[in-house]
Amino acid sequence: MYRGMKAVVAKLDEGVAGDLAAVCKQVATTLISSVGGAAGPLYGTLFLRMAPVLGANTAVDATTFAAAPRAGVDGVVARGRAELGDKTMIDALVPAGDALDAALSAGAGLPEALRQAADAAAAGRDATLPLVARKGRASYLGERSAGHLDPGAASSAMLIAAAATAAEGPAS
Amino acid sequence: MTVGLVVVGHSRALAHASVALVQMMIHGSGVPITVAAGLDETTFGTDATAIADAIAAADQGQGVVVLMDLGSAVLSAELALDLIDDVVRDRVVLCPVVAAGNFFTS
Repeated sequence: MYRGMKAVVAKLDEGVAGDLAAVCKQVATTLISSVGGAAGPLYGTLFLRMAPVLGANTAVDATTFAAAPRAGVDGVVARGRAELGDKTMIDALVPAGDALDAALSAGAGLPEALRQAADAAAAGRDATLPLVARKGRASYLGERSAGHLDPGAASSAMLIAAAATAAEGPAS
Repeated sequence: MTVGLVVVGHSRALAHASVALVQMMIHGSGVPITVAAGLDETTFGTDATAIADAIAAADQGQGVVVLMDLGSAVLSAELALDLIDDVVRDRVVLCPVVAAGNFFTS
């Protein structure tokens, strides 16, 4: 993921022409072609599925924005065929999506809602610690996977925390 | 025209060597075989966009069988199906296989 996100940042620094869908697609294809492991197609799917929701806009309201990661997470669930508690990125992404929707429904602004999503993702990540992995390469370790955080849940939590920090804007 | 083959794996060198071995045995059959393996010559990994390109290159209209090793190769091949034309997708079959030498890189 470090390799993939470094490639994404480099690509975004070059400047991506077009609407939000184009940006999401560019992020997706960069991750797909630079990560190499299962996280590539999974995070690639996340951003690919966000693209049509954001569409040909350059700015969207908070409700439309929140629908995008929801579509993305649904795509990841379908692609990875993992369930909650399998010790995967789903364990961070699904509670984060739920928290985002709940916060926005309760009237929170997007930065606050994303911060609550990041907190939910971190809690989801921490909850993977005692679990035995049932999906992905960690599942080869069986019982020995218990006692370690799931790396997919950890990278998802980092991604959402970064989104929250970005939405909060530069520290004053 | 024949069905085409796409070899998907984590190691480009291993995939090309496998294809070279097979080519020796099917000499002159005209079966198109393309490779989508590794991120580059030396970096292990799979890339759904490369798999999509390899499927397009192997397709002569009679269909394509995609052979892949484990782990992300399966996810990447499934994602590649989302990236290709509907017409081509309908004649593609995904076929996970275990290449013993590849197992620990998947």
